[in-house]
Parts: sequence; structure tokens; C-alpha cells
Amino acid sequence: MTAVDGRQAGTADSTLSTIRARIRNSSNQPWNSRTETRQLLILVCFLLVFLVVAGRIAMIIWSSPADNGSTYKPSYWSDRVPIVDRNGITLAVNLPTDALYAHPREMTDPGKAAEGLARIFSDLDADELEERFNRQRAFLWIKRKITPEQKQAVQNIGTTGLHFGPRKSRTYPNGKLAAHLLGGTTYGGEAVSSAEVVGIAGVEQAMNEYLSNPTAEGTPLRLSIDVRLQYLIEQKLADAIRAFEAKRGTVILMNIHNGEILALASEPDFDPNDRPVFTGANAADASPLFFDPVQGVFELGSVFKVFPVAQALDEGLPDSRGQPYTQDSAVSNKSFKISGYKISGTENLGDDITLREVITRSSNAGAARIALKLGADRQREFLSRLGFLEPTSVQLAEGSLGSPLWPKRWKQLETATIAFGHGLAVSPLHLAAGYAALVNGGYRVHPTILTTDADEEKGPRVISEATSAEMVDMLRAVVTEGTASQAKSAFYAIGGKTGTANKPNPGRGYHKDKVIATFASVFPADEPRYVLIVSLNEATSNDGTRWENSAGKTAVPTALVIISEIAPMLGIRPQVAMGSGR
Amino acid sequence: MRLYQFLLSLLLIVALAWWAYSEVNATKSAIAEVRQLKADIAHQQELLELLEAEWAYLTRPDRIESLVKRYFSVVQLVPLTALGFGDIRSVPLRNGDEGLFDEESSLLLAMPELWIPR
Repeated sequence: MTAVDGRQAGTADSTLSTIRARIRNSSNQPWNSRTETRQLLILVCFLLVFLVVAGRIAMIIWSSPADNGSTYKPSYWSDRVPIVDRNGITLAVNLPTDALYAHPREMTDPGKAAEGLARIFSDLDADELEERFNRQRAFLWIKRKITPEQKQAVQNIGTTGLHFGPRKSRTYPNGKLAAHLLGGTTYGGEAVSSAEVVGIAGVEQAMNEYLSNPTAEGTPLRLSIDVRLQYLIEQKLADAIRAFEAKRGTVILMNIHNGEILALASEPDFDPNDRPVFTGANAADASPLFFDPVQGVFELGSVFKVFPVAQALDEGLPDSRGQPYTQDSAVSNKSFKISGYKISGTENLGDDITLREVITRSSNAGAARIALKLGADRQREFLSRLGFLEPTSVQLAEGSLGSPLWPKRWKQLETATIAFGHGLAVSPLHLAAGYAALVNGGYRVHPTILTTDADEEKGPRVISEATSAEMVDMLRAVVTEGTASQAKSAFYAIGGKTGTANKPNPGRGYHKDKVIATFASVFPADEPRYVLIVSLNEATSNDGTRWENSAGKTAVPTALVIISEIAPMLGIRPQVAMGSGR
Repeated sequence: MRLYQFLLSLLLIVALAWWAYSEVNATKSAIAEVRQLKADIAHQQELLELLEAEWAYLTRPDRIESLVKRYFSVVQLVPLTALGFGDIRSVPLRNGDEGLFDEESSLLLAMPELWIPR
């Protein structure tokens, strides 16, 4: 007899007897007790298996959803790819931290808990907190992010019902350094056990998809920024803003061959670890969050004169004698009127100047005459090829906000004013890309804050190589014989163009004395590698006798200081003979 | 004979059950071990990030600058300036090395980009 017998099967006994009887009756063969036992054994086995399966199904059906171990618990990918500079120095990293929440129903002494919390967090009110605890809600967020010290203090209150949820906090170890560029993060989807970290500005927002991608873990996002250059440039910009009592300032350092931005400074700045609240009103003038070089669009003034001149040279525009323009072609500096507006020539300069002098001595009338000869359509087409009529493609959230502004009606007057940088408002980053194309041999580059593997990222050709060389030559002449004489360096040959643009006064034309002073420079001028844009908002300079606000007295010396210090760091050997002060 | 067959199959079933049971257990403990290892890795990664953040914080440019100023008498570091570039000709020759220098220096002098720090 086997261990399991029909007779011993308890409750199934009567059923089994019936089945046995049926089998016996239906069979014509003599009954074999062994066969019977075997069949019964198999039957019992199947029954047991079915019972187990049925029991399990019943358990799943009747159990409450809460304890079947398969309820949906939202969990978020809270890790984020670190950000490093071009040399691998950490710019943004995640640190473990905690969120604080309460289960008021578990609290034995809500009063004590509320009082303790109010002592730790100055922005919490004890009475209000106690009242909320006494409402007997199941769950209550108290703080989204607390420090380890605060966590210890909360634990020291010694009361029940206070809990901590693990969090990742995005931390910027360098503090204010490259604050605008990095932007900042906030918590998106949030659960007790985890919270999603999402970018809300700068590269954190623009590259959010990459940064929050779990598969990218371990490979940090490498920016083209160099922390050392960024730090130095931010220091020099802050110094200049103090010295020239400027409101705001911008510096861009960009590689002209591949568009890599090595430093991008914007003052005033902020600490991304403690990002200030966006106030909205009057943001462009007062908010430290406003990212001038990328987000701000300004009429940048005379720095634009290089563009009609480059176009005239490149397209072989005939001068007054019918010959294609050269640097020495005659251009009139006489003031003239167009659509009732007077366009002035440069003072203390004869009526007849050369094309070269339009740039070196910054003649509005000269630049406007060239542009008028080119015509609105050609001017517009050329500026469009340089990228001045669309937002830059830079990987920053603010890039798309920096949409250039230009007049709907682009006729003769607009053509004339845009030639000297009024009427078309672009971001300083647009200007950097435009200048890069003029001096890099003539092809367009797209500014990028990510490292590119290539030394050159050639876009479509904008001007010929020969015209590009002539532009470098003229930009150098602005320093040696023109308006940027303060950029003469004993060591480095710098080229560039100044621009002093009156700020628009909404509804009333332009401010008389408030200007944006810009110096768009290239160095080293004999073999350009970098473009440096310095732009100071409402800067004034006092040489002891009088106040001046021209770029030549503010932005130019700032650029000289910056280039003198960063060029050795970029490995550029001094080229100009020592002490010659060229 | 049948009894032996039966006993043999019973033994086989017991052995297989034992094997299955031990496999399940081994799998479970392996899963637990993997989970523990993953937790350890996550913890180590967290520590690594913490150390990286601390290192970046301690080596941030403004701190280095102030430390260099404070300990100038010890470290004697000055910023790199345009005057910091030398000339290959100013490098003194070692005695008796003229022959070697001639060959290499002509190359170096002809191609300064070989030795300019980039």
C-alpha cells in the first residue's frame, strides 16, 4: 500500500469510492487492485496540484491590493550625469540628501514636533504646522531638500511620525563660476523614495534628455568651457564693471575654427546652488538670472560695420569709378539725410575717406553708403548667411530666447542704419559667430558649448579666404591706427572693432548718454585663433578730466587685460617685439 | 522488480526535487547577492561622487588662488604671463653635447610648434 490511499484521503473518501465503483462497473476486465491504486495515486496527485493552484488563485483574488506585493510604487530616476569642463574638472555633480515628510497620524506629540521643526527651519511656523498636524492627514511634505545637519537636528527632536526620503541634490562645487551657463535644476516628479531631477535653465535644461538618461551614467557631459579661463574672465569682467560703473557685462571667448566656447561670462551672476527666484518684471535690466550673451538681443552699433565692408569686398561691388572695391577705394564721409533721418560722418575726418577708414575710424555715413549700394535684399541675404536672422543653435536653454529682432519693413533707411548696427538686434553670441566667420578663412561656424572632436567645423562658405585675410588686416588696423588704440599690447597682436551703441529708450527713441560699449576682437591677429567679445552695459570711464562712455575707453582696455592674461594660458607665444607697444 | 522500479523512480523524484530545491535556493541567494552588490556599487558610486564634489570644491580656482597667495613663500607660484615663454637658444648646453644639440635644435628651431605648450 502506498502512503496515499483513497480510503485515507479524508473528505474525498466518498467521492473516490463512487469513482472506484464506476470504474469497476464499466470495465469488462478482471479488476486489478494494483492498477486501481496506481490510478488513484495519479488522481490524488492531480487533485493536489489543482487544489494548490486554485488556492493560490483564491489568495490573489481575495487579498487586498495593498499587501499582494505588486502595487505600483512610483519611482523616479534620480541620478543625473555629471558635467565636467574640457579638462575633466567637475562642474556639476549629485550629492545624496534627504526630503522631510510627516505621517501626522503616527505622531504622539504634534506640538513638540511642530515646535522642534520651527526651531530648525526658520521659514516654518510652529502654530501653523501644529494645526496641519492635528488635521490628522495621512501624509504631509515638510521640506523638499534638507542638509545632513538639519536631518540630525530633526532626529534629535525625538518624536514619532517624521520621516526622511532619499534625494539626489544637484550640486555645483565651484559656486558662482559659470552659473548662467550651467543653469540649474529642480525636482520634477516626486515620490517618497525618489524624485526626478530636471534642468530648468542653461545647459542643464538644454541637455536634460542626455543628463537624465540612465544609460549615459558614468560618461559625464564634457563642456568646451575651460574652468581656469572662465574664472579669470569672470574676475576681469567683475573688475571692469566696478571700474567703469557698468550695470551689466558680457564676455565671450570662442574658437573661430570650430565654434567651441571656452568661456562665457555674464554679470551680475548668482549661485546655482541657491538659484534666486525669477522675478519677471524688468528682468533684462535687473535680474541676475538674465543671460546677456545668449539671451539678450541688443543693437550693438559700429561692430556691425565690418559686415557691409566685407560683403562689398567679397562681392566685388563697383566703387564710384566702376572698379571693384578695395581697401583703398574712396568712400564719402559726408553726413546725409535719408527718409528724414540724418546719418553723420565721423568728426575730425575729411569728407573723402578710404574703405579701410570706414572701419578704422568708424564712419556711420561711409558704412551706410556701402550698404545702400548693396541694397536691402543683398544685405539681408548676407546677414542671414552669417546667422544673424535666426537664434543660435548653442546648447543652452536661453539660446532659443535670443531671437534676433529686425524691422518688418527693411527698406533704405533700415539698410543704412543696420550697416552701423542699429535696427538689427542680436545677441553677443551671434556677433561672436559672425566675427569668427569673417576671420577664420570665411566659413560659417556654429557656437557650441560641448567639446567637438574636430579642430575645424566648417560650415558653408560665407566670404572668400582672400576677403577674410583683408578683414583680419583691417581689424588689426583698428588697433594700430584707429578707435581701439588702447588694445595695443607689448606682446600680442590684437585686432578688433569697437561699437558704442546708444541704448533704446522705449517709446522715446534712444538714450543720449546710456550706451552698450562693445569690442569684438580677434587674436593673435597674424594667425587668428580666437574671438573675444567684451560688452559693457552703461559703462563710463573717467580719465580725471572728463567722463567718456565710448567702447574705446571701456570695453577695449578690458579686452586687453583679458587677452594679456589668457593668451599665455592658451599657449600663444608673444609675437609682438617686446616693448614696441604695437 | 516492480517494487524496485517504483522505489527507483521515487528516489529519482526525491533526488530531482532536492536538486530543484537546491537550485532555487542557490538562485535566490545569488539574486540576493547581486542585489547586495548593486547596493554596494551604488553606495560606492555615491561616495565617489561625494569625493569628486569635495575635490572640485577644494580645488576651485578662487580657493587655489587664495592659498597660493597665503603660502607664496613656500610654493612661489606666479601666474603664467607672456614673459613666461622662453627661447630654445636660451637653454644652456650640457658639456660635450654639441653634436647632439646641432641635429635636434635645427629641427626644433625650424618647427617651434613642436615645443610650444598648447
